[in-house]
Amino acid sequence: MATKSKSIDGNIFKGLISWLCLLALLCGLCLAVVLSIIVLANPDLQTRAAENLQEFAGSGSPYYSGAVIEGTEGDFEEDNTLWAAAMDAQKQHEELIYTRTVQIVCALAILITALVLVFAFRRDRRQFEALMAKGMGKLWVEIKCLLLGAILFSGMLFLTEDGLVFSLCLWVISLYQLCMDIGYNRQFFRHNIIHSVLKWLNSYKSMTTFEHRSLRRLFSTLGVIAGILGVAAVVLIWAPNHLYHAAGPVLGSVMVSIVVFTITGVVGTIVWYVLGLKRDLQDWNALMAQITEMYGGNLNAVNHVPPTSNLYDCAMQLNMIRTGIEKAVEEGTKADRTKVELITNVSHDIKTPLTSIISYIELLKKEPDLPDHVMDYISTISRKAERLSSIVQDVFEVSKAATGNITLNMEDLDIGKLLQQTFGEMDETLRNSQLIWRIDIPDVPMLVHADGQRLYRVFQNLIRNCDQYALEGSRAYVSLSSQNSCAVVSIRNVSRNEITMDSEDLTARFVRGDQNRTTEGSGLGLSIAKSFTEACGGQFSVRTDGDLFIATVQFVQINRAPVPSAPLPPPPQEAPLPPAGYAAPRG
Amino acid sequence: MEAMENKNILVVDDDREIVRAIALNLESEGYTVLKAYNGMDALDIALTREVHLIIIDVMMPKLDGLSAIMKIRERKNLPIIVLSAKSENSDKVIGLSMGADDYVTKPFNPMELTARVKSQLRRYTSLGDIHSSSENTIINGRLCFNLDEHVLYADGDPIKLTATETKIVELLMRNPGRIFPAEEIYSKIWNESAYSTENTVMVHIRRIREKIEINPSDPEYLKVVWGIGYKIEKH
Repeated sequence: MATKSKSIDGNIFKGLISWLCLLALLCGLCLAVVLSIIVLANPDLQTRAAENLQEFAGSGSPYYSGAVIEGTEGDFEEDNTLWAAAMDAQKQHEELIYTRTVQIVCALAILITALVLVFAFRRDRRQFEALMAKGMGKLWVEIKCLLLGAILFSGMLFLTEDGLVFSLCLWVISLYQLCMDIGYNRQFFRHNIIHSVLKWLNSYKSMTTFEHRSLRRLFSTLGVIAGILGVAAVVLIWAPNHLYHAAGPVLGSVMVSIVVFTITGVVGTIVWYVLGLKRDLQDWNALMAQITEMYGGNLNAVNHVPPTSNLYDCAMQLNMIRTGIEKAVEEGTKADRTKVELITNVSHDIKTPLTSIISYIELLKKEPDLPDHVMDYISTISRKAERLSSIVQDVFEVSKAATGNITLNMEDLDIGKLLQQTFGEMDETLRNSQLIWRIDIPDVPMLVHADGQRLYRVFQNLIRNCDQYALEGSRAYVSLSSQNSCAVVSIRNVSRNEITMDSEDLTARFVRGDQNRTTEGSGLGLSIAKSFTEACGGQFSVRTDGDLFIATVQFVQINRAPVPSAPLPPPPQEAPLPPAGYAAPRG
Repeated sequence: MEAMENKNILVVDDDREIVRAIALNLESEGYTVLKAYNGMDALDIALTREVHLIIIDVMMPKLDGLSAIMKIRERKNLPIIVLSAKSENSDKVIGLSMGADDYVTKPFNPMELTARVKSQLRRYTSLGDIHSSSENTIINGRLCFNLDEHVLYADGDPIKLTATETKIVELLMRNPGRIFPAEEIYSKIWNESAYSTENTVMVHIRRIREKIEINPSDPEYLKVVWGIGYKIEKH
């Protein structure tokens, strides 16, 4: 670091030297040109210059004078005094020649050194110039113009015979610097006071909060009004005292015009302020309308706040939030779709080998003369294969229901009758179960709007769940009742194992009452029941109280007479107002 | 089992093991099995050889099952059973509308497939002969109810039903497609007003279903209209 900064310093020094040399050279050149032009343009000066030159040359030019002296040496030999004088003159002349030569040599040496320095350090010079230009670029162009004007003017002042050199040098240097500045700073003209002020205003606008901006506007309005009133008051007080020489009508008209000016100014300022406030309020309105609409579910709502508005940033940010939410929702649906696709594919991929397994098990079963224990193994494999098959189907269904990808055949049906039918279908299960079933279904029809097939699956799963997890010999209660115009089916049983998880977890997929998973079942029963109930627009809940397990299915009752003997089931109709949480099936 | 040895069944699936298993099962029933592993070969065999029934997978290389069915249907009239790993109802509808006669989802029970094969062959070959022998019959798909004998035939085989079951079947067979609430069935069969006896009707219905349906858990004929009643689907 140290060496680097040192070398940079050294470079700057070299650049400075080179730059000074260049300026000196330029000044010299300009001086020479200007002087020669002046000399050439002025005949009087021309003769004087020629005399000067002759004087200089007559004693100065070493070759010419030397030849003259040599040539005349012999002539001067006889005359001693003359010779002495000549010798003296020659001596003087020789001294003069020596001095002139030294002068010329020195000038040449300086010139050559300067040239060498200019060329040798040209790179450093450029760096130095760039540095200078950077510094100068920070000045506004107006100030530069002012400085330049001042320099030119002062140069004019010094433009006498004595000050010529000085002012010429000043001009050359300032011109060179100007060229350099323009060359290096591309935004030479753009960096002006107006531009800077605008930029500052803009940054001020973006930096302050809406509150600050509003207050600033209010205060500036008040300030302008106060200013106008103040000026008017001063003028009104001052004028009558000082315009005494003016005639009455003049004074009157002056007063009237001042009053008119004041009123116009104040009213105009107030109108300006109110218009601005109105614009702001309109923008607020647009924003709030968008927020309301977005809250209502329409994510596509857009506001039309103009870019000049005070609220533009806020509106843009709201639009960005909207885009973000849209994107998130889109990604969510995409993820859901991918999930269903994945499960569909996986279940397809499992079903194909499962088909082979089941088929070959069937072939094995047909095999004659198999020992009993082998038959036992085969039947175990067979049972497990069937179970696997039902799990695959369950997984498939629950994933579709959970993502709302099922098609529903919604119709009005009597939930009591459906329960009866379910018990009829599951007659065998009920009969073989170790439980005592207490079923309480009132005879009055209770109509609900649901998909019968899915609802059957809900109750089937709940009853199977009871059968599998209830304590042997205990009573299981199934009851249907009407509560708050809702049909409520509740299924209660005493669990065989201690329920260690909370009700939320029980309906989660693949969760089973027994943590060690010894019982048969996919662990999807309650999850399927929940998904299907909710897909049909009902509410499903599970509660536990000690070992008591209570599952509740709740549907909004509809008050319409059924068409019991219709040859065809009534066509699917629109659901009545679905309860909250009902997600319309997609796809 | 008349003339079963002569029946040629074409089994098409890109999974060779499945084809082999199906073939073994069908051959044990006495059928001759032709095998194909893609749609093009299946089309070739179906059009060049004598085939009585086709079991075909939907998703296959070269030519998928549904396109193959459409091409075969243009030229031949024979029962086609579609195999598919998709169990969506819409897939089933598409399969059946493309000209398939039956739809079996994977993983299937080979016994069920064999039963369906038998049913389809019966319907195509012996449709009409036994049923139409008596004029007083109701024919609905593979079911046939003889009103004189009060006997239900499924694929031509008489089904053993109890007296009550027969009455229920007769009621439903006379009105295919119509939905009967359980109370109505009860009052019509037992001639009593129904009171909390629905379960009886339901249990009877379930038993009938087990006797007449190939796959009782996915009935094709005797269906539950949930929350409303029961019906026999019109085929």
